[in-house]
Amino acid sequence: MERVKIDLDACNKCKICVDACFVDVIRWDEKQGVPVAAYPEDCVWCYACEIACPVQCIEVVPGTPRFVEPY
Amino acid sequence: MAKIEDLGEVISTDVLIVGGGISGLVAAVKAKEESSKVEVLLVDKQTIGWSGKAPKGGGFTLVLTEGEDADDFVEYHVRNIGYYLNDQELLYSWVTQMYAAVEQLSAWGVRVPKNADGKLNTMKCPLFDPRFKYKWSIAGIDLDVLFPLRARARKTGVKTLNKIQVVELLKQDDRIVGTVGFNLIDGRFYIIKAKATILANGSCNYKAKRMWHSGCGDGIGAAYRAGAEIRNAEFGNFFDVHRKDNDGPAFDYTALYNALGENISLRYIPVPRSDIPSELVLGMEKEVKEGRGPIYFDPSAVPDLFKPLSDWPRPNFHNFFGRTISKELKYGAPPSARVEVSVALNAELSPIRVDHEMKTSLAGLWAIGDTSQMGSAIVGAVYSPPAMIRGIGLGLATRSGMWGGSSAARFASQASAPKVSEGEVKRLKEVIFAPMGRTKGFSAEETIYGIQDVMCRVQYNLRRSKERLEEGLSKIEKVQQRLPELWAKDGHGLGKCHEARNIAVCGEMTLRAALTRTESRGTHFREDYPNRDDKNWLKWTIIREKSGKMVVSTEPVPIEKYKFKP
Repeated sequence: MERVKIDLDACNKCKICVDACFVDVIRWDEKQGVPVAAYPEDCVWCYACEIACPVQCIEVVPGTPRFVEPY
Repeated sequence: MAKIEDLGEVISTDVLIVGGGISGLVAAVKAKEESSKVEVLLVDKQTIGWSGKAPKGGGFTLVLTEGEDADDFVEYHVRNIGYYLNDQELLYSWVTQMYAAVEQLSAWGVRVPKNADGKLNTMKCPLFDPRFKYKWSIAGIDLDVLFPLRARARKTGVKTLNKIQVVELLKQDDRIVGTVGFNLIDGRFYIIKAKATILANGSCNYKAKRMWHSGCGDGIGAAYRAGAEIRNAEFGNFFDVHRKDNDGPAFDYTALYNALGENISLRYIPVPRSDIPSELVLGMEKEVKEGRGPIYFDPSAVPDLFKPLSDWPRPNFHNFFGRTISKELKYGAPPSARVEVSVALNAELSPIRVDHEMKTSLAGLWAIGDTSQMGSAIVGAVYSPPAMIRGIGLGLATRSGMWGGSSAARFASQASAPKVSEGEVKRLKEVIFAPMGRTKGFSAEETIYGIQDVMCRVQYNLRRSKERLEEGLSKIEKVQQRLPELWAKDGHGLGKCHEARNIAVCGEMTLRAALTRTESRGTHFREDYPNRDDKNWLKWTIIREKSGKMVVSTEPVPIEKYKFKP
């Protein structure tokens, strides 16, 4: 499943989602001039990009936490 | 010999701050207030304003208000949380200065709930246990705290650089004179020369819980490798109770039930506490091991302890956690449902030794915020943040940023210009970029999992014994032997390789210190030494790197000069 969905038709190219991501998942594609979910496997679904987006064009799908069994 | 400029981008500054979370930003503003002539550069591996824990945390800090006594707080902490390993003088200074520190944040533009009379809108909140008599107050700090601080910093002339991952510290004899690192986006090598360097890049959380993925001990590893002293590392073992479905928190801890429907919280929490005690984590393990698992959290069984917090005027707090709740409603169990819980490692290892000005044992190097909360000894025998009282993290980050920023600026205004050896920079560049020269080998993910497989297990990191600690250390050693095989294909991957190296060294220092402390105290529990031993162990553990080896020693706590004694 696509974890970080960005609707590029609605995107206003403000780059705030790139700044908001604290785990370097979203990068700016210089050639296309659009944001791209470059490392979706590292998304921790904090939703900071979704909340920050002024046109609300991002949907983050929560993943399944992976843990070492503690006991 | 190559010129240093041929090796990478060279930048010079008076004060360099590594890490743009709340502590780093506060230090930057304070350094400029101390001396407007001092050049201040703030760098972050992600984007300043968004990184660190403050934008994702609880949004409050402990403060003392009228009628609340500092000695009373210090005594409670020393006798019930820090167990006499606290630096009591520092704890007293901190708690008496926190109200003014929050007012200072407010004056800098931070959104802080206030009353009509302009005073802080504080509250007494029981937090995690309704039975706990919480005698002190908390003040709110909204989650957008970093934006006004960033604006303030830039207005006063602080320069900022994003996406620079600092890896190692530069030395001139025994003095720290800056750092080296690289740009995550384009992979360029950065040499930053600085008269004073402040580490503000967080604790080690082992990438175990999703919201704290950025805390990989980057500053702790760099400080250790440069020869700085590490203090009380054995206590960096915070196991939190979390929901298994989404890794969210399970408030409150008095509402945990086993598969038979029995309340186990009350069975294992010895006396009401303001946060989760280790005894409850050990009890959860016992219930599961004896066949009475899994453990559930039932929010309907308790009053809504967090209602007062929800009612506070903190719009960004509501936006942030409101989004999480709406996602839970859409994709999983609603927050009010009975859910399966387990324990997960937060760790919060923050062990760089600092003095009252946040100076490390190395000249020219300071450590603030989550890099040094344990290493300052302010909290004693417990991990920090939150040091068994949530909200302490923001408070310590703020105040240590003020102390460290001022001190570093004073030092930098008098210090000579750094001299950096080209040979040393060249050597560090090779070490930093080595994983980029390989196309196969050992991945950062494998490394991190290998360390988590030890540190996230209760049997190694909480229910400790000589035998198991040695077994854990041998597992960590096996992972470390493969670090020279780490490989990365780009800057993002290279960043994770260095995070993995630091996570490994943090795991080792925790277990080595734990092996040395042959007693049980605070969050350090040894099955083979189950009692507190005040005769032999009113001591801090100290770790230093010597000829490539991690060496542990001890130092007596100067208990004779402190007010509260066993």
